[in-house]
Amino acid sequence: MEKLLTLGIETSCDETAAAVLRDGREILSNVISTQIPLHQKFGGVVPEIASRKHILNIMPVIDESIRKAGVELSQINQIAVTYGPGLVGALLVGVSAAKTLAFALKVPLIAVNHLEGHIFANFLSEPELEPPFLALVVSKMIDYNDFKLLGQTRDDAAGEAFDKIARVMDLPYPGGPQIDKLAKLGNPNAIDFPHPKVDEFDFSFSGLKSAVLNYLNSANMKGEPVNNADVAASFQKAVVDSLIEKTLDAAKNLGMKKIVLAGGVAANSELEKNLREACEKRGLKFFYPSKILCTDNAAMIACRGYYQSLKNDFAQYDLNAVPNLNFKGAVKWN
Amino acid sequence: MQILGIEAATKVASVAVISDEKILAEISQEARLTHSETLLPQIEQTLKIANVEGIDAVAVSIGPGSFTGLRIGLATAKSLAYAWQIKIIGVPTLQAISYHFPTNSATILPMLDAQKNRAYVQQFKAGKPLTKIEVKPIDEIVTAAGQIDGEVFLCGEVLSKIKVELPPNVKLAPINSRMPRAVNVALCGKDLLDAGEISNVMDLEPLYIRRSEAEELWEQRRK
Repeated sequence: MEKLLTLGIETSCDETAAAVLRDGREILSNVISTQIPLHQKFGGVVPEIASRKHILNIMPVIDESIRKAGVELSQINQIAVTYGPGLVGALLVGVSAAKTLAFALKVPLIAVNHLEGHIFANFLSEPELEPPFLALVVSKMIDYNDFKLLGQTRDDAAGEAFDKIARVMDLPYPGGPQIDKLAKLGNPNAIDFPHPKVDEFDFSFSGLKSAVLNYLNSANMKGEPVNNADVAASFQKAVVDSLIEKTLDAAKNLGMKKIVLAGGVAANSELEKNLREACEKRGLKFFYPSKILCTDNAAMIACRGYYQSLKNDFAQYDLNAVPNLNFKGAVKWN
Repeated sequence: MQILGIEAATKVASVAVISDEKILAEISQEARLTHSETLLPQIEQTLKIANVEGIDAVAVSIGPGSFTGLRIGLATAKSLAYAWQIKIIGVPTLQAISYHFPTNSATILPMLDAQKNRAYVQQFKAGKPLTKIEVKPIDEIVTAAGQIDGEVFLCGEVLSKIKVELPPNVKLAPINSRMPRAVNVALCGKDLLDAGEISNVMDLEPLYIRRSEAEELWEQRRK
């Protein structure tokens, strides 16, 4: 059977990305145009600026992905695009372009959930990886197209807590990598921040975030010096401990032997190191995408799209962006 | 020569195919807001009705207008031009609206919503701009129109927000000549094409006029 070429397009936040994938696993090109420097002075992503950059970059990025793949646009068999979650104005640029290309080239369109894409980044890093496995954050992967959400955060995402705390500490955007770097210089046991306690496999980070912010504010009011490195290390430890504990519990409960890390949080070096060690200790196989596949990219979207196409899970031309899209089967918390 | 016109700068979603001296097909609607859902199916439908072999150029309304609507229109138009390897022409929205009145005997003032009771405005005669695009309070535009010699037609989308009395020489355009339409985008695009004003599919972007609010606030804070 002839191999399928999937063009992936991703514009959910501050990266304009396009990639070409041959069948499910072979990356022919993976082009990412980042806007991070543009947003830095605002301390976070400005949706309108992100959207403006996407509409300017979208065609050159797609064109480069086709050229780098060494194929012709007319050879593309299907187009996969992120339709959520993300910033609505940003998503709409990618969705509009993908739909129209699918229409103009007369090929199928596939609507991909960005979060699911992050899990699929692992298939690209690790050609041998096959389901079933357990993915953090946190879904049970039974088959390529059959996965179940076990738990999710009930309030803030871990990444949001990192960004917010980094901002209060006057660290540049994006906050995650900055805290990661600073934490290496600090003592993770210096401050005893509360470890989030939630039932089942859910997470909660807003309480921890408030505790850290209160600590910083009260020190500031009293004019006491703050060791930012210790704060970063102690906060990061609380997050990482909580994520690892829940993941190991879930793996034990479900008898899972493979654990994969996925998404923006996966780029945290402490989480990667500690989870790897914890898995090795328990005889679990640990998978982790390469750095480039941890960031927002379109190869993972094309990969997710490819496996959806095997199940004839295609979208129509009235596809819209869904900014607060969740995992399939996810429970909403009030 | 077949030109596909695309208009999504305002609440109107409009698509047309013109062929030399004929309007082969046009679908316009102001009934639903979600251009993201309706625009491409509307293009598919219009092309089906027009029943042409191929399209030679795509003309797209580039604003000013709704930032999101403009980006949906442009992402769509650019992708068509890229996939079909045809020319793309960015058409200023105010100019396209002025094509409702191909006359030298009146001044045409198309206005588009710039938020906070302001409008983007520009003066035209016979489809040619007489001034630059400006952002002004709506009532100020209307009052100032009284100073223009001869008959003035106001068109565009903010006419219901006018609170002052119209000066004697100023009239509101009838509703069939107020809002943007893709056939005018295609016609204006053809004139721009004939004048050699082709856009580049790689870097065509909306005519925003206004910067993002975040940038405006950031500048203010620095002052």
